[in-house]
Amino acid sequence: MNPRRRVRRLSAGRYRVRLPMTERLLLMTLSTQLVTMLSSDKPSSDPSLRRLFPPAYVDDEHAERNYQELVRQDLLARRSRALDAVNHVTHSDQVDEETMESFLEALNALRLVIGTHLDVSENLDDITTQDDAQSPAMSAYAYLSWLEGQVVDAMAASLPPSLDSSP
Amino acid sequence: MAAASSISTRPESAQDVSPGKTTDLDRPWVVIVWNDPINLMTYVTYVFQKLFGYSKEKATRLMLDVHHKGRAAVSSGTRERAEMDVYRLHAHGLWATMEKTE
Repeated sequence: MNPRRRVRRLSAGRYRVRLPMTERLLLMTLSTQLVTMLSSDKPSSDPSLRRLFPPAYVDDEHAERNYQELVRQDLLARRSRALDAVNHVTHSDQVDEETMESFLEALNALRLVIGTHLDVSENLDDITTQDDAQSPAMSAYAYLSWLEGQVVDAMAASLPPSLDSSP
Repeated sequence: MAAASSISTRPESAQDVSPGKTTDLDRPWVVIVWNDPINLMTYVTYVFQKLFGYSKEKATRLMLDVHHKGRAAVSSGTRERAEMDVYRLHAHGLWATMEKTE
């Protein structure tokens, strides 16, 4: 088995995530920081969190305000649940489908926040060849991207058959 | 795509959200996903498959449209349906908006 492979789908709805201690610590640290940021008074107005609360209506302020009021608490609760899953995954040998879905959402939320902070404008392949590729935030971003890719690959194998008849 | 497992799809918590009441039956709404430099291409494809039940081929085509053209229409329907889809995409971290078709 590839020693760099962290995520393995065991069977229907079961996954094994094996992470070295340093990676577990990094994930716990990052998720704890994001939990703290999300628990601020008005997280949706924090510039670095703006990608977690995107607009739905671009030309209708009234509809947009209603939409944000409608979904804000639900989106917040969902992010919190996702970040809880990081704790679960880093302390379990095997996890179920639902936990992996939440873990994936957490990894992606962390990437959105760090990527926004870094003002990422290129794809990962380009980033990792830049001079500042070794900065802590860039390293964390690259690591999260790498791990998320593994989770996506494992979970895509579990998708049900497509509903559309034409490819 | 690989043979399906017996996993049932978890109901989206989007069901908790009550969509707006305003309707305009004559002009359906379309859900647009915008290109962004952060979300992984494989992740976007996966989300399209998972949320809309699209085949990997169709999901990949839509993802490439987003990537190369800057945006792609990924679903359409009533305002309520579109708002629900936008919410589900937002929950997955994608940059989605909705607009009325011309």
